[in-house]
Amino acid sequence: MTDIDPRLDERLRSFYDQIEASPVPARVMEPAPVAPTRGRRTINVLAGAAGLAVVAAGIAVFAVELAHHNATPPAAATRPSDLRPMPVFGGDAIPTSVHVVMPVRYGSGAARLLTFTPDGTLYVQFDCLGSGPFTISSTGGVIDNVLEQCSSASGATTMTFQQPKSYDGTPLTLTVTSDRSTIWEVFLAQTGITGLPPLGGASLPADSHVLVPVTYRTGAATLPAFTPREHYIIESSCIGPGEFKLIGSGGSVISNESCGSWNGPNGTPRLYPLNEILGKPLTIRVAVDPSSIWEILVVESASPTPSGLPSSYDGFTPPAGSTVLVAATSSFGTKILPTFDPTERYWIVSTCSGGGSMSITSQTAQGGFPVSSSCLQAGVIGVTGPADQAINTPISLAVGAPDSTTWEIMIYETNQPNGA
Amino acid sequence: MIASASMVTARETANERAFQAMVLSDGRRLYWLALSILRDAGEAEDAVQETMLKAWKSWDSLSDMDRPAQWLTRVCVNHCISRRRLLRSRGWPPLDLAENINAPSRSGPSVEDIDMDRAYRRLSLKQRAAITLNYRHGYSVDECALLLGCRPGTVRTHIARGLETLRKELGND
Repeated sequence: MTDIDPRLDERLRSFYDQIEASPVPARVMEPAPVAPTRGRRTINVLAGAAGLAVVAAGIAVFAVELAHHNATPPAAATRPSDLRPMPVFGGDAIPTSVHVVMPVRYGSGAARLLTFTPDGTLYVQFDCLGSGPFTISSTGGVIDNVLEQCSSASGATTMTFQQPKSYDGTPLTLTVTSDRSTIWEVFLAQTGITGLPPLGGASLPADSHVLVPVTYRTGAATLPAFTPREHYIIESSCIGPGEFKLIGSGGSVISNESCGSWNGPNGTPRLYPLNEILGKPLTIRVAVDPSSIWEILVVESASPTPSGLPSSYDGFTPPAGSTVLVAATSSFGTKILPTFDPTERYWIVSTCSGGGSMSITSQTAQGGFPVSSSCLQAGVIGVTGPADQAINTPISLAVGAPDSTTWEIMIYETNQPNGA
Repeated sequence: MIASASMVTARETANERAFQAMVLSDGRRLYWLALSILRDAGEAEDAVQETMLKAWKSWDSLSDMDRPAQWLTRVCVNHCISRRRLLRSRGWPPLDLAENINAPSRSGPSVEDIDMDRAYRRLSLKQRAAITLNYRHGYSVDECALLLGCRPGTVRTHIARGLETLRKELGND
């Protein structure tokens, strides 16, 4: 990337941050057939591909959409001040582990919000203000909520829905119906995404709060901009080929790991980014193979642990059936770990923080192997099964790192070939 | 015949789902890219929709590509540049409208924001595209050259001249 002097770099970054903080029109994110609206050329892609038989249906759709358009003022870009801040997590509201299907949308009157495929429990959170009834419903009757009278007095309302047994997997279209004068906001999330672990577990700092709710996608995407006021933590998971790369504002690489390994046997990887810039909007871009599925949760906490490492790393829980040879040990600089005597294949779990790199080398001829990893991505967990295994031979490992680098290491043995 | 029709329907449904997944994953990125180049929300929206329309028309080949995102980016950038040329040739938008295309937020933009936006509008479309792709989206110069359909040296020139213009306009030199 081109080098730019710091002053212009800051202004350019701020400029692009503002662009990427601007709302994305709903039609950009909805490829479903839509009717032409005021001056905008739109895609009737799916209908258009189906030939003459669909043209007739398209005319009907056009009529419906035109009527819909007439009744639908454009959605508001920002939250009307009379509505409560959303989404609300925790307590009786929405668990932090949900996957966001649709970020908060604001609007008034009737609107078709999005088409999605439900998976697991659905959470619909909304607030509205106005006269007359307010309805949120979906095709297939999976979501169906009617309020006789809209009111914002009690704040955001959260509803949960389960798919009925008769549900056949068809994508659902979520629709809001209300008077033109009624303003509303709606947020949609769900629990399930096959293959991805839940994020936002209890091991997050108690005072952490959500900056970017659990967001999942297939392929590359940019997360909504957020402004960290405290130290932020990125929890993520990825399934698929190629890299899983997180790129911050200005193109700085926050993390670059193999997507397939970003789902290790020791829990969901966490990043404790270094060189945080607090108080300024940050946008994270996820660069992955188009077929990779990933999820991310960003939280912030006022109680960061020294050098960005958690005081007790939850990823250091040994897998079931394994035996811990060297308990989780954290230190800094160069140290020699306690000697251990493996009876099975052993595995090293490690992470480091503070820049530079950390190396782990054997002090015995039998168990020789070099392990070296960069510490630029604080909190990234590494699991290594040394190729040159020494069974029933005492082994002592030395950790080499600058004094400014903190690290944590645990060693366990297991008869499982992949260490899990 | 019935079985055959079902298979066609199933394939179309799968295509539609895959297409929708692509729109979900790339729509936002393309919109911001287009908005960065065009500085007009409506035109950016059109650019993304035109891109997606082309993607749907070319879906059979696109869905087999290793890097469809790059294809989408190239189409979107090309559309932004060619579309804006056409509009400019017709005298649109008028200068005063162009200066006020983006409605200010409730609190209003800062003087620095206004200066930056005005300076950025002095850049040519290719300069905007090259800087946005390279600086913001992290593409290398060689990748930018592929996306813009020009040589790497030309991309470097676009970036260098664009940044020079920004420095002059902002008084950073």
